[in-house]
Order: sequence, then structure tokens, then C-alpha cells
Amino acid sequence: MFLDKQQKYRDIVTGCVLLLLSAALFWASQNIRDFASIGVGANFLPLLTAWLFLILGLAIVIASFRKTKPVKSGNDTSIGQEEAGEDAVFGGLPSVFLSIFLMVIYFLCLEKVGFLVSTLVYVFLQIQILEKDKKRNHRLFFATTLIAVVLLYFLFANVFDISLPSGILG
Amino acid sequence: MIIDAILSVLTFKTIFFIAGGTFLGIIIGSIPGLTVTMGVALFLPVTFVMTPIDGLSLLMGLYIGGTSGGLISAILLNIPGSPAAIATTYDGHPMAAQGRAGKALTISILCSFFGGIFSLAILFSISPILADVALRFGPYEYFAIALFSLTLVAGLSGDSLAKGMAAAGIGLVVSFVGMAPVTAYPRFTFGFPELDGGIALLPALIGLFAVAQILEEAESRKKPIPFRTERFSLRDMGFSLRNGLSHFTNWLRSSLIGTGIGILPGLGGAVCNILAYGAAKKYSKHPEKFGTGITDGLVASESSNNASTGGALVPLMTLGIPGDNTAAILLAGFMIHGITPGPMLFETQGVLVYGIFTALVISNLFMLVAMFAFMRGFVKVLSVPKHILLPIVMALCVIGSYGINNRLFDVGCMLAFGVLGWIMKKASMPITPLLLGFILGPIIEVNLRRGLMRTQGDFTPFLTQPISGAILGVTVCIVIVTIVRQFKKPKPV
Repeated sequence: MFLDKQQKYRDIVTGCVLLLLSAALFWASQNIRDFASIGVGANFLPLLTAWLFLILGLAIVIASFRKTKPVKSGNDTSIGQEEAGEDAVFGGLPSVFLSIFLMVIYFLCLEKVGFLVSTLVYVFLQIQILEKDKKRNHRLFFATTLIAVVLLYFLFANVFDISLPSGILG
Repeated sequence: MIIDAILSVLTFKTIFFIAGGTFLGIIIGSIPGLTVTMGVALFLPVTFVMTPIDGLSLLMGLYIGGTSGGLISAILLNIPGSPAAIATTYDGHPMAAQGRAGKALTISILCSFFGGIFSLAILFSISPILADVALRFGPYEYFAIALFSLTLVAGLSGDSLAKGMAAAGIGLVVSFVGMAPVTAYPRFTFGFPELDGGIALLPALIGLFAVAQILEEAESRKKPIPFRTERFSLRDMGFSLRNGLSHFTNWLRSSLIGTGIGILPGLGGAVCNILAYGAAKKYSKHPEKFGTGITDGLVASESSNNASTGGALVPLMTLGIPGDNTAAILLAGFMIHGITPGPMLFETQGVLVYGIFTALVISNLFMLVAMFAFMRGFVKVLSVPKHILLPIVMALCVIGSYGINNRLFDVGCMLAFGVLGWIMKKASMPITPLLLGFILGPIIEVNLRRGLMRTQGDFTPFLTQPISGAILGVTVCIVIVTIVRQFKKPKPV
């Protein structure tokens, strides 16, 4: 039941996002004035897609309300136990948002600091986020990061001659 | 021309790239969480500096190796290395648990090889004919085929038609960004000059397949399964010819299913191994034994998933429409070298086309040899922890996205697509329709508008021309059948 409720909630959100997307597309397509066209213009398919989103959004929202609600489910207890047992491990949305935040900082630093240094820092920190075990072998993480990133940098920048973002630290 | 093509591949350098690609592909395919699609995407930047035949040979090697590698962890760990090996776990792991891991691996490797070769034979024979037919296609036919492909993928790749179509719609929206086809009117660029040329395919692909995977791993609360190899005996690799021949019908049926599903746009190995397993069980004399460690199940799964590789290349090479996710990345691999796959490819780049075919055969052969020779090594690689591997993968993603145009903007696009891919997974939306929507959007739009220009705005010829009319008719039927099936689905109690 817990899973069903969550699924229903997700479906409603998905449907609403599609409706918003549809509205945004209708709005954005209004400014397209393609006089050079014969038949249909540059706004034809975007408008068609906006209609598609409108219909699909409504369909998903309505369907999620109409889904039959189970009275009881034998899985309830097992799911609860699983959740409780997993609490000790770092994960879930905080971990995802932290990763996205780290990736954005990495992206912003690439041009300023350069590929080599920013990647070294990023990879080391991302390993810390992804590691599920409480016992962390920091030396191993550091050594792996250093060897892998320097190797990648050397391989692509020198052997394959692909230009990489080079900031103040190269 | 064919001899020229074969000779173009039979150089030390090209064979080295094929072998290296296959070897790396097996490793990537065998590590759960690293898919063959991701592997091919990650190695695209390496091909920037290569000649087209070398670069594409490397990618084909990765494709074949990656599709095959999934069987190792499926049998030994009960975790499919890639979605294409899901059905391999059903009987492969019970066999390994019974001490018959060696036999399970031998059968799977042989089936992978023969399944792959079967589909290549079909690719060799069908593609030139299909390309010849496709040369006569005009805007009506291309519009119909692209719309058909998109509808098929939207209807089949997820549990819900609505979500599949929504994903395809999102893909279309992504493809709208930039200059509109035919009239070059800029739209949805939001003032970013970088978006005038549209969103680049490669960063989007890398984001959807690799970055989303890192976010998913971050979200997971599961502790990695401790890996032990000593439990399994790799002895007894023996397998008699008579025993092998008894599986001929099953092999042929599974290979046909694999190739057929591969040819249909957007489905590929992930779907066909389960279908082939189901078919083998249905036609078996002893269906009750399936799932207990029976070789028939392995034959079905492994011959079908490798057979999908050749199949997926048929629409890619002849029409420019990818047959599965990995073929979509291969499409990007062609584009990097300024080559557009399609019927003209056979006319203008015949040597390259047959060179690729040759590379595929060599890759299959190398896969067979490498899997047997380095089995123990591949098993060891499985113990590399994902939390260390994935951040390094991210560094490769950045190199790939940045390297294609030398601009940071594409790295930003990659991140945005990574987040989009993760959100879509949370909303149970399939990724494949988005990808196909992105690739097919311009084909649909350009051919619709060209067709309408030809007819001065009249849509009737799209329906009255025999080929496009028939394909559009089938498309409508697919939508109706899928909707009816969804309503008939038993509701969960």
C-alpha cells in the first residue's frame, strides 16, 4: 500500500509537470513567426507536442485517481523492515542533491581552475558520497583518484591531443 | 569493393582497435551498473582523433563485447551485467550454484558467438537490399517510417503508453531547440547563441546514460554485495557436439527473435532476451525445468541478445534510424566523422560499410577467444567497487562532452540531461522514447515540411502513397492495440 500511494503521488506530479510543460510550450510557440514556410510553419510540431502533453498530462492525473486502492497488502511489513534496516547507509535524496551540487560546483570550476585539479577534487569527493560502507579507506580513495585522473588527463591531453579546459592551474 | 573493405580492416592498427574495443566491452558489460550503451558513449571521445574505420571498429568491438560481457556476472553473481542478460540469470545462476559454472559459461559464450554471427549474416544480406529500396524513399515515406518508429518505441518500452509517449514528446521538444528545419527559423534558444545549432546529441546521451546512473547509485541505500569467486568451479567447461546440436531449433528461434527485435527501432537486447526465454519455455517439452538450471534457458537468452546487435544495425545503416540505445550512440559515432548513416552510405561509403561488417565479424571471433582465454581475469574485474569506478566515469563524461565542440556549454547540457534522466527514472518514464524522439524529431519535421511544400500544404499524399499510407496505417493500429491492451490489463489487487 505504501508503494502504491507513493506511485500514485508520483503519477500525479508527473501529470502536473506535463501540463505545465504543455502550457510553457504553448506560450513559447506563440512567438515563433515563420513567414517563409509553405504548408506548416516552425511552430506546427511544437504546438502539436503541446497538445500531446496536455492530453497525456490529463490522462496520467485522471488514471492515477482512478487506480483501484488495495485494502491490505502482505508486503507492508517487509517493506517497513527493509527501510528501517537500510537507514544506516547514506543514500536517498540528500545524497542525490549533494551529488548534483558537487557536479555543478565542478562544472563551474572547470574553466576557472582547470580540468586536472577540479577533477581530482571532484572524483575524490564523489567517491565519498557514493561509498556505502562506514569504514572508509581514504588512502585508497586518494591513490585511486590521483592515478586514474592523472592517467586520463595524460591520455586525452597528450596522447589523443584533445583539448581540455585549462584554468589557472592547468 | 568488398575485398578493398576487408583489406582496409586487416591492418595491425585496426585489428588492435577491434580487439581492444571487444576486450574493454566485455569488462564494461560484465560490471553491473556499467552498460554497453554507457561504454560506447564513454569511448566516443577517443575516436575523435582516429580515422573513421578505426574509430567505428573500436565502437563496434565495444558493442559486441559489451553485449556479451553481461553473461559473466549474470551467471556468477546472479546480477545481470547489462539488461540484455536478465534472462541469463534465470538458469545461469542456478547452474553455477550447482557447481556447473564452467558449463554455463561455455554454453553462453558459444551461443553469444553463434547468435551474433547469425545476425551479421542477416545484416549482410538484408542491408544492401533495404538500402536500395530506401534510396527511392521520399519525404512521405521517411515521415511515415520515423513516426512509426517513434510510436512503436513509445508504446512498447515502458509499462504505460502515456508515459512512453510523454517521454517521446520530451525528446521531440529537445529536438526543436535551435534552427527549425527547412526555413532555419531559430526557436527555443532563450537567448543562448550556443543553442542556435541545437542541443548536441553526444552530451545528451552521456548525461542520460552515465550521469543519471551516478545519481541513481548515490540514491541507492543498498550495500554492495561482497564478491567471492572461490565458490564457483570453472572446471568442466566440456560440451559435446551432440548436446550442442540438440539445441539447434532453440538457437535458431532465439536468434531470429533477437535479430527481429533488433531491427525494430528502439528495443534491442534488453527486451529480446526475455522474449526469447519465454518462447523457449513455451515450446519446450519440459517447461517446468526452466529456472532450475537448464541449458535451454541459457541458449535462448544468450543467442537472442547477441543476435540483436546485427539486427539493430540494419535500420541504422540503411535508414539512419537506430535499432537500440547503443545504436543511437553509434549514430553519434558516425556523425563525429561527418558521416550520416542512411541509404546513400552504401553508395558513397561502400568500403567503410563493408569494413564495418568485417570489423563486426572479427569482433565476434575475438569475443569468443577472449572470453575463454581471460575468463578468470574478467571475473576478478567484477570485484572493482562501483563507488570508485563511477566518479572516474564522470571524469570521462566531461572529457567526452567538452571534447566534441571544445565548449563548456555542452558539459552543462550533459549535467542537465543527467538530472533529467534521473527524474524520468523516478517517474517510471522510459528513456528510450526520449532518445528516439530527439533523433527522429528532425527527420519527422523536415520530411513533413518538405512533403507539404511539394503538395502546397495538402496532407493527402502522405496517406495515399502506398508505402507511407501502409506504414501510417500500421502506426495507427499500434496505438489502438496498445490503448486497448492497457485498458484490458488486470488491475492490481
